[in-house]
Amino acid sequence: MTDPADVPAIRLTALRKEFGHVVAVDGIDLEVQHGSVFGFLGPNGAGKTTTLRIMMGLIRPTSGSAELFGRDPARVGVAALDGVAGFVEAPMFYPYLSARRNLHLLADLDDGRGHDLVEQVLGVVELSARGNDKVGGYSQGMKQRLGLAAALLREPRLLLLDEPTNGLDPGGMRDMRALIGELAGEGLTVLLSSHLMGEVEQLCTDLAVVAKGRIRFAGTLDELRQGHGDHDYRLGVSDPARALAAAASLAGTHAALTDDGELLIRADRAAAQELTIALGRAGVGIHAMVPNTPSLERLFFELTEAAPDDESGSAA
Amino acid sequence: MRAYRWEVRKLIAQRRTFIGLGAAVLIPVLFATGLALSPPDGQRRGRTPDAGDVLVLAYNTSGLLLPFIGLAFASLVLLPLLAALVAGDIVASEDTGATLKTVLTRSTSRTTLLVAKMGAAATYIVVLLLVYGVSATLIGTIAVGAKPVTLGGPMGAAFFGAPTFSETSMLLRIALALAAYAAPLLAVSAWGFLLSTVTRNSSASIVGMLVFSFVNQILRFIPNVPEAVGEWLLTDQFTAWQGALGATIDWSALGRSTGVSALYLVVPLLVSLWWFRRRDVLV
Repeated sequence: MTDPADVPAIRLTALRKEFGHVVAVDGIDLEVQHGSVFGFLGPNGAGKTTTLRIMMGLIRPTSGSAELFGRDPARVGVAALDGVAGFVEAPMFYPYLSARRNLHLLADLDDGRGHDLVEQVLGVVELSARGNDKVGGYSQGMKQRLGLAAALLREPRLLLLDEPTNGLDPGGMRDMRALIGELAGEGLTVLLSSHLMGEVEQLCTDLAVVAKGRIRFAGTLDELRQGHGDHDYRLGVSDPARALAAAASLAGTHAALTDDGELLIRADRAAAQELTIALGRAGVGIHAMVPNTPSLERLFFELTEAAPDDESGSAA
Repeated sequence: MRAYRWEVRKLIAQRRTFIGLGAAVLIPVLFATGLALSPPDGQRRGRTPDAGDVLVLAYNTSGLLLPFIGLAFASLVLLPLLAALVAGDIVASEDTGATLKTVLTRSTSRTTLLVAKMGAAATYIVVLLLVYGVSATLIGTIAVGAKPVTLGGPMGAAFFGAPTFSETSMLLRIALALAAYAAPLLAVSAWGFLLSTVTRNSSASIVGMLVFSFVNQILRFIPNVPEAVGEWLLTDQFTAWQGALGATIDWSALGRSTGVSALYLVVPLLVSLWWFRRRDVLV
């Protein structure tokens, strides 16, 4: 038996799913390590939900594999979901049953485990007082919270959450994000599928950007910014003209003057340090030097709207 | 068993279950009311008499015939329709409610879940017949009284051999007839279950199950269909319960009906299982 600690929490290998002639997932390779909060970022129709459905054993891939702690749902069925929980799209429950009875039903479908956790998870998502109400009368936000409660009932080591703040009002979004943040803080591995860049930026340590069924980027937020920023630093100086001349004399440093008299500097860390020394020697005072990180939104659009090298055969 | 118990609990929590069971009580109520308002007079009014006519005439002597009268007139359409309310809905409603993704991501396999649904649908159908049988017996007893029954006269001799039954014998034969009728009802419901699994649409499955039942009947009544073919259709099995009313119980007819019904039952259930295990859940 494979020790889950020796394998990534999630490993997708050449994952592909076709619906007729439409390719929803087009050869995704991805690994998510234990303990990370991983953002799965992409526009609507990018293939995020299809990928999650494959991971949860709801649909079979056309080719490739999706392993959770080394086990593939397409091969071993629900046994692959041991230690895994979550939901895809809006979590749904039986509207004619109360939230409590829905959770007890799900506990029984987990071989009777989790009955003693029902009250606790209802408390975590602040639904204890409404637990006896039929779910048919619940708002979308309450259903989202109940979805999280149903996931926690399995005491998961890996949470797969698909657009967990979808349909929530701003307060509900804040609460849901805080809750996910708390769970991540307790050491759970979380894969958070979202099209909201702020959400991923706020919660995730690593991310993959997916578009048209393909991974366009996978790594940390810093790596994403470093790899795609046009200018690395914004510089405020006492004499922009002399600063520009000093920068031009240094190898590995590119400078440009903005309309408001600041310098945009593209340089790696070592070159930036050399520049500050050179400016000091040239008698140029520095009153501001801030990393000029591109917004995640801009990077997102660059990645998802750029045409891939070989687009043929791919669709949303 | 856990999954089965929850499927039954879910049925109990749904209004349509009780609409079906309520309608099963309404069938004998309507027949008893109609027969009270217009008592049978033995006039055939220009059509060929059938077993139902014999039972209606004998109803004058004992209310214990009401369950059989109801079966004679409701067995081909009404009771299958009530069975279809659950059999055609029990899988499709998980698709329309998008709850399949909720239950299929737990630790219970697809096979276990579908078998639990089969068991719950079968339980509903058995309960439906029990409710019908008990209510029809009570209503007939209240309306006419529980007395010994003679299916006499030339017509009775033609259909049933003119037997006379005691009250106890009639109660046993009611139970036997309902048990015999359960087999084809479960069989036709299995086709509704298959449609529910494949079409993922409750209405289409309920209508489709009735169409399947009608097609069986139409095929049976087409002239020149060989008897050897006809007796393998479900239509004959739906009337096989009449074997419980003969001077001696026609065990061979009842056994054959159960066997043929079992064939009609197993095939759609196996196909449902095969389909459900491999299907993609996209809602």
